[in-house]
Amino acid sequence: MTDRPFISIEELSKSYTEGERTHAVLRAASLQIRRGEFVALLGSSGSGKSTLLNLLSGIDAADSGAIWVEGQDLIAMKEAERTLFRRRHIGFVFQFFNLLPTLTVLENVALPLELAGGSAKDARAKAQALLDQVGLANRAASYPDLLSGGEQQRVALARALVHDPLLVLADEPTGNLDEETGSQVMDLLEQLTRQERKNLVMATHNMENARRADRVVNVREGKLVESGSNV
Amino acid sequence: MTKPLRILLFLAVVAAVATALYFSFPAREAEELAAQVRATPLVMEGFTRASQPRPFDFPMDLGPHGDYRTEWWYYIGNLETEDGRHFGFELTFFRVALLPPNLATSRSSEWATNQIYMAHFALTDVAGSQFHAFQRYSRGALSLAGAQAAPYRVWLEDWQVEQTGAARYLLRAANAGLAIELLLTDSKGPVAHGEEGYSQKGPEQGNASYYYSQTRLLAQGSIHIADEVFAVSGTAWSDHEYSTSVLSTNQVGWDWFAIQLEDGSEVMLYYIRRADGSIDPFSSGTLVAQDGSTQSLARQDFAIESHTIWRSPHSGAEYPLGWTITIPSADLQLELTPFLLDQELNLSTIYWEGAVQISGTKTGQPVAGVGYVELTGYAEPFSGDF
Amino acid sequence: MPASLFKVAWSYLLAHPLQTILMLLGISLGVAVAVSVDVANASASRAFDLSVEAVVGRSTHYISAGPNGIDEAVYSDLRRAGLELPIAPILSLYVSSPDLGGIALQLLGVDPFAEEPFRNYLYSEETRANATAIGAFYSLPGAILISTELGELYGLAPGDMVQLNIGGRATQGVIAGLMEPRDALSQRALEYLVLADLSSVQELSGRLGVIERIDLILPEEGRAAALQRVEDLLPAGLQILPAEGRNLAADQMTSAFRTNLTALSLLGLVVGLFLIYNTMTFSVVQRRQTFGTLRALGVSGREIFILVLGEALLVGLVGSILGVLLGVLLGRGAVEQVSQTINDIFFTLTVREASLPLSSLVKGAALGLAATLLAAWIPATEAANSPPRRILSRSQLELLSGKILGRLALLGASMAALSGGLLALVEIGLIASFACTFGVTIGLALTTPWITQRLMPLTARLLGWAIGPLGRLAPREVAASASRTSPAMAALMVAVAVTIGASLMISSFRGSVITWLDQILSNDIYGSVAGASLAEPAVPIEPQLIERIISWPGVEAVHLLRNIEVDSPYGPITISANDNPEDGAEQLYVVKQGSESEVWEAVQAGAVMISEPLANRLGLRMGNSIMLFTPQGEQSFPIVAVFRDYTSSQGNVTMWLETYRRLWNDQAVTAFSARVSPGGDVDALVQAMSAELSRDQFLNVRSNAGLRAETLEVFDRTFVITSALQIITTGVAFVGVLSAMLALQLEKQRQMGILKAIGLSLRQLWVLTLLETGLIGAVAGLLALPTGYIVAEILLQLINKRSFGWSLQMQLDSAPFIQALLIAVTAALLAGLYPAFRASRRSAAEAMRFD
Repeated sequence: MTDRPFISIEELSKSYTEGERTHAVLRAASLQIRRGEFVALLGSSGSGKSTLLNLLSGIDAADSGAIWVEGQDLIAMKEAERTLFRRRHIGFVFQFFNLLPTLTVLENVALPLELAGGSAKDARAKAQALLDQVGLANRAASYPDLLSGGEQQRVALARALVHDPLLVLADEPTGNLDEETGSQVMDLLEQLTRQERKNLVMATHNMENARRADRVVNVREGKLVESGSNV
Repeated sequence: MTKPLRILLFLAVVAAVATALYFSFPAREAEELAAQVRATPLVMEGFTRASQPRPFDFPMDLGPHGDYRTEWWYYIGNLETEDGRHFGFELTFFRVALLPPNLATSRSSEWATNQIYMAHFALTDVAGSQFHAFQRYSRGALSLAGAQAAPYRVWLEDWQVEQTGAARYLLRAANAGLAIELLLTDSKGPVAHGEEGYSQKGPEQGNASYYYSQTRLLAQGSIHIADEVFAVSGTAWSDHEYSTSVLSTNQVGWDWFAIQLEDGSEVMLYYIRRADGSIDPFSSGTLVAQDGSTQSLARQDFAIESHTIWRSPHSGAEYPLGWTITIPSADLQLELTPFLLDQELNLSTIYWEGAVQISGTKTGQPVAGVGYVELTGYAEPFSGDF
Repeated sequence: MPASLFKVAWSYLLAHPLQTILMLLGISLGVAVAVSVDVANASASRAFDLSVEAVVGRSTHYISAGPNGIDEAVYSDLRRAGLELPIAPILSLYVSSPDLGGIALQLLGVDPFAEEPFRNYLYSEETRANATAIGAFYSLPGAILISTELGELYGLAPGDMVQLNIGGRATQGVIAGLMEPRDALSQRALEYLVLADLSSVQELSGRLGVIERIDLILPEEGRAAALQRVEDLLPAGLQILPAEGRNLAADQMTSAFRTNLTALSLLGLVVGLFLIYNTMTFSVVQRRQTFGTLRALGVSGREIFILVLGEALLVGLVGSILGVLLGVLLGRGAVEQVSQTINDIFFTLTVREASLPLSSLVKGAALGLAATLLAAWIPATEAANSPPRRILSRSQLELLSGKILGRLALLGASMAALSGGLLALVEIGLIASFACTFGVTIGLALTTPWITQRLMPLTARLLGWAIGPLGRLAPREVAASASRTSPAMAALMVAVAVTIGASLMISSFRGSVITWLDQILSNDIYGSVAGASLAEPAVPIEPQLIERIISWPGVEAVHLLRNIEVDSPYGPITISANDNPEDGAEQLYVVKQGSESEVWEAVQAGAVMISEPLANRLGLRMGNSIMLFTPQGEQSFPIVAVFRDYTSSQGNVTMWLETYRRLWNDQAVTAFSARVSPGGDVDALVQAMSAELSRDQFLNVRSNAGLRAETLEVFDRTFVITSALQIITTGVAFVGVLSAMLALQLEKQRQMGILKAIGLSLRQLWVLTLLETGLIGAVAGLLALPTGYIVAEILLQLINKRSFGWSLQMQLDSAPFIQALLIAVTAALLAGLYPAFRASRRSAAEAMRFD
């Protein structure tokens, strides 16, 4: 662990073209995140926080700028390299859970490991362990659509963590849950990431959730504005 | 005489044939022949022509003369039932040769022929105010149609006239429920027209025919109309004429008269009409006495005047009907009145041929009779091609 | 209904151009196939009618005698009998001329003066006006009339000489005139007809003194009396027969053939129907939210129904019009194929051009529209039933469909069982048989999605074990989307099954023909008079040539054959009379009385054998008798055997040559077979005979092998169109699978995004997509194997028998099965390529922007 930031976002710009109109989502956004830090990106819908997450995970490519994650420039990588990077280092939690309906809970959780080429046996053991941690060991053989929203999101947490990523990206993880369930899921998410000293970057417009973060960054019209540290 | 009309009828068929000949010819020497044929639009060359008087040789001349281009046998007559119901009839056989004898090839099929026959059959029912006319064609082969001299016979399918004895003939025709069957007895024998039968029709050499008639055939027999049968008797007339080329270019049609008077004499007359409306100087006629002796009449020896114009509802043609005929040399003046106005044959060629009633005076005495009149070239002016 | 609603439909179509194009393609291909075959059939049928009309004209009856024809005197006697009935003599033959394209033309010898009531072509104003040739007929030997079109086509004018090949001899003819018929109809009828005077035809054919038949028109009123009057005039041995018997017999010949083609063409549309259903269902499912919202806004279910149906109608209309246009193009090729087959097998057509009957076009368009509406009905109903603003999760939808799939499978199975039962147990007509075949095929196709769903868990386990998570995922996805992909799957299954069925049928048919050829072709050399068309009646070989063949050095034995069509109470029937005492042993029997030698002894004593198609057609069995008209009057022949024969679907009667000669008083020979002395060189002998004999009469002399090859060539030609239709049908199915896959991938964009987010690599994406489509193809292909076999059995055992009277042995061959499986998997894999490509190009983020 050095002083060097674990993640460094430099002058990142991204725009989408819809028909004839070009819409700039990020304009020269910059941000430094230290190892193990929990950062909340706070902003209203369409402010660009989801885009920033997509760029951070490498599932979308920026127009200009750079993203350094542990000394590697994500922007400079090829699609295949980014996929490998993502496979190894990134876990994703979505607002709508996004579990695969045709796979069981256990299979869903094990999938990232298996896609990365791990043995099925190993993958399942790890997945089972994580399901234990999220308290859903008994639902391993169920299909996602039989689970409640909170349960589904807990499965998604397990899936995001199963391959031991460095960075967990969460996009409005409670957006589709009631307050109580949301808070339970947030507790679990915070606990699991902090105990393993993983970085967590969470996009949200929920102040309550944002307050849990080490640092809150406001996303306004494509720019990042530091609003101070909670620590 | 002429019945140039018949020529016209004929020529309608001949024209087609001739043109076809003009186009093409069979194998081997075909090209030569074809060239030869193409050289003249109308194939007259090679046919025998009527160019000078030539006494008839009976019975041979009763039959066909295939080396002349056209020929016809013509039967017309006036008949009555015992109670006076009047009928007129016409049965005519036409022959045309397709090729001159020098061009005809020898063929192995019985169907092959150089002769085409056409026949017209018409019946005038005066009491019923009905006139019927029919037409048939056939080839002169396979005994479908033909003519022969001894015993004399001319036929087209089941329409026919055949000799049954000396000067006796049986005439039969039927069509569409109408039928006629007559026994004809020739009371005078053949009568030659013109110069021993040589009948000049125009100034050109060869524009002539050989022409004779049986001017008084006593007829006895029956007529069927649908389911009715009428026993009839009366007098009939026959013509037989053959030629190769007859008319000049400016001759457009003709009016022809066959007159049978009660005193046992007959008259044949024709006017050839010219394009300018005048009467051709080659118009002529024949007086036949009771004993069969004849006297030729030239253009200036007779006059024919018509009284009324009848417009045909079928063809639209206008015919002069009703005539006064004067023959000063015989002191003969006759009024001819059609039994029916509508005796027009609206067939492949359109002409008027009908039975007429006759009254008048002969050497001052009243005389009556019956006859047949033929009017041609009224429906379609013949431009003088023939 | 507010206009903005239509915008919903319109912009959907525009926003999904690929889906719309595929839908259009499906409809237009289906319609095109149906139209092209209909055009071909209509043209063939029309050509056929016109050919018959040109030759038969308006006659109601005809007088016919045996092969020796009618004495021409009979005609002139009738003419002179005062019948006052239209009668016309005919003597016809087939000619070809290098100056007229070398094709077979019918040369009709007529009496022009008798023709007018029968065939009006000679009597148009135009023909008269151009002053032809009625007269030239009589006096010019070899004078012929041809149609103006034919004249223009070959640059011939009146007066031109043409070479005429008649009965293997070349002679000269001369064009006497051009026929200019008065209307387009008779113009087409006349196009390939050559007219000549009877005298010329007698001379050209050497049939002097003879005519072939006498046509009559008997009045409707008092027909019996008129018939009696004519009969009374006829000498013994002549029959007066109704003309329609001949037309009907001729028409029946080709109708089964045409029905077969129509059935095959409709298959394309059925496959297209699945496709439309598939696409429409997708478009509805995709817009459930939209429809839910619209319903919440107060749009009625009926309006949504109309909206969806209207959308389908629009696509259906455009697709149908495109299909009709395409069909017309395809039709031209099809017409050629169909006419060729008809010329090969059934009848020499005097008309060959494609006619474009409006009815075919209208029918095609209507069929396309109706199919679209029918296929869109269920999706439209589903859309109309969208509950207002209800959000359905996908799994709910699939669960619903899962039940439907089971029910569908049950329905399909009962449909297949019922149709199969009907086919197997009940005597039904050809069209009904095809309907039942469709029933079996479609019924089995309907079970495909359910079976697929059932098969997938096992497959997932197998593949998961073999290739890991993707192997597990793909089958599960296939099972989950079975309700969406089922129409495409069913369509593919039908297309592949029919491909298997047709190939199996053709290869079995071919095999049967080969077996049969092996059996009957036991001599070394075969010869007959060369003609321009296979279907034209056999022309006798000149007697002096027969003498020369018999005494040919190196020839051990010669057998003679007389092939001739004679009249019978059942219509015209072909007789094959031969003098080969071995013939009894050279047949493949269906059934026979006693041993082969006993059968042949009976035949030598005057009995006959009939071919299987004839037995089927006339319902005659062994032990019955068959009646034939001979110059001696009607004669009865005991049937002692039924044998296989694939030369004609009309069938024939085989008798002893002596019997034929005695009864028909005809010494002519139309074919010979010869055995070469041991050690002789067959090919050299064939060449020598060909060369030397053809100086006098052009003979086709062929070796055993040559004849075999030629027969099989005709066979293969006959099935060209069948294969073409199959390929198109498979093409339609391919488009179906492609569009289904594409739409499926569209649906799964988000899922692909998630998978990418959790680490799915590009390669894995391709593998997953192709695994899914490949699985669909493989399952459809596998299920098509038994279905195809069943279809082949039906085609062989029932359809062929009912269509042509041939029974054929199934000859199993693995090739069609393997081929079909390959086709199915390849089609499905190909159909997966584009969706996979598209999915790979899309970034995961974009794919997920559905959130």
